[in-house]
Amino acid sequence: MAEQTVGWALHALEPDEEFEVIDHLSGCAECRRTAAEVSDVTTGLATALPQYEPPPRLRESIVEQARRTPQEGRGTGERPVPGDRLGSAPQVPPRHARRAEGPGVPPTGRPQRPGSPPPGGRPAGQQPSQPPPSQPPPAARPEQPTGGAGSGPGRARRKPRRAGRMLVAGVAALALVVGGGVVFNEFQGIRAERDASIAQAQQMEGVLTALAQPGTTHAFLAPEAGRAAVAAVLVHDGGREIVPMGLEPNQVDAQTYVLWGLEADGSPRAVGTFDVRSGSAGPLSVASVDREAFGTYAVSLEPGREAPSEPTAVVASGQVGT
Amino acid sequence: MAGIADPPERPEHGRPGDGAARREPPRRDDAGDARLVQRIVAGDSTALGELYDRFGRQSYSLARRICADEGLAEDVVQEVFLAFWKDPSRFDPNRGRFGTWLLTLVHHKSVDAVRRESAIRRRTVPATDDGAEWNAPPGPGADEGAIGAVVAGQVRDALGRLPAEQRQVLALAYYGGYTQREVAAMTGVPLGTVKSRMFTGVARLRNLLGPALSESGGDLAGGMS
Repeated sequence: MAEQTVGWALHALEPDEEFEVIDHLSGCAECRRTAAEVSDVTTGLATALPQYEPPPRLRESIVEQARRTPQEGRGTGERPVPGDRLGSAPQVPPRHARRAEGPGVPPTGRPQRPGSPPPGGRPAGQQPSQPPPSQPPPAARPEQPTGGAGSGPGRARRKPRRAGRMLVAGVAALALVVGGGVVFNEFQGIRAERDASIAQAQQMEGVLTALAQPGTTHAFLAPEAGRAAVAAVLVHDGGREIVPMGLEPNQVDAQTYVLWGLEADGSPRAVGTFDVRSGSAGPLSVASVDREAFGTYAVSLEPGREAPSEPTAVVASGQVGT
Repeated sequence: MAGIADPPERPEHGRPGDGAARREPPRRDDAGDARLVQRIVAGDSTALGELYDRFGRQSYSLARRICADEGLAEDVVQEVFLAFWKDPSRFDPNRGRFGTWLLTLVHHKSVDAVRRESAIRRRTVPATDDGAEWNAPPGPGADEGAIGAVVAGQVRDALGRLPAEQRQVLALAYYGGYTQREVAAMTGVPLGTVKSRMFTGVARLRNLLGPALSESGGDLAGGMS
């Protein structure tokens, strides 16, 4: 693992390897020390380079943007680097550092070239003031995590590839280990993924268990033919349950999912409504007085809390299997 | 874009708008760094400018070397300083010097930036990189602080004493921003060999440089020995 730690400290690993090392470091003091030693050496490599004077505008731009940027902690998308404090929870800045004056400026733009007005329309070095209304506010949301160098228009930030990673148990405990160069937020993201995978597995288990009961029929509903199912309908003794397997949670105060059955002539009939909450692992009962058996079911997401007479946006449909 | 084997170009002098604002050369002043960090924690943005005076040139020179693009290097340096401003707590003074942490972050962000760029525009793949540029003294115009020059000379000397194949993989990874897998593909060397050369190269450098760079608490019987 020491070899991988050196690779990590040099930022020379592939993304999947990176996560393995970050995982490992939280429980291995020796590798943490190795990483610190590599940082010492690479700092030497940095100082060995010929030195160039940066343009003065860079300093001005940094100080100016700091003055306008609230101190609010790091974004969750950032991976830890060697030397980062463990469990770096965003600190609460002192009140005087939270002056919200004028539009925020993203800490990612190219420093202003000489001759062009700095962000906010105020020449650097003057006293703070509200930008004149003639200045369009920069398209900036200071609460966003820093998006990488030059992540402005035209420089999209690559998302780290994380999907589908199943992690060892105990991630929560790892976040509490002291001194590992691992950031708590990083674990939050990983844990959410792991929990999502577990929830999905539980959902599938729920489907399979229900299917095993004699007399149960089912339909897998997919966005379109050939795509993976995002829900299953289970019909037993005329009652219907739905198992969300890939349905996004709905806003339970403003939206509702509706289960539809298709009549023989193809006209839809609302069977009942249901909500998908994050982490819910079904099956969910769909309250319904009618016991009619349909051959095809569909799910739609509707505004409001009542089923309309016809679905406005079908998200998935499928036929009852035999 | 230049291959990483190319010697660094000379700085441009007297570019319009780039008045050479010489600030004090970087020097090791851990207590001073700590005071500035404290002021930043307390929300004093002028302290960030003072930290920049200490580390801006090193940061910019490193970013410029990796990015091979002055504008991109400026972006990276700005991003790093503002990332620290937004969350100073990510630097833990008990775990090392501020300068080490900062330059590590500059390296990471520079590599990320050059990889993003290369997704759009392929980087030139150098045929070879024997690290020769660090064996030679820096050319005229490449300005180093007096104290920095001593350390830089030691590092160059140590690099020169590494076996060429170790120097090559380290140079491609650290200065070029290539992953080990990319280095393996470029050099035709198996991935496992690249990993072990990188490990051995760093370990040798550390032994050659010894106390010149060590700040890990003086315990030299660490994981690399």
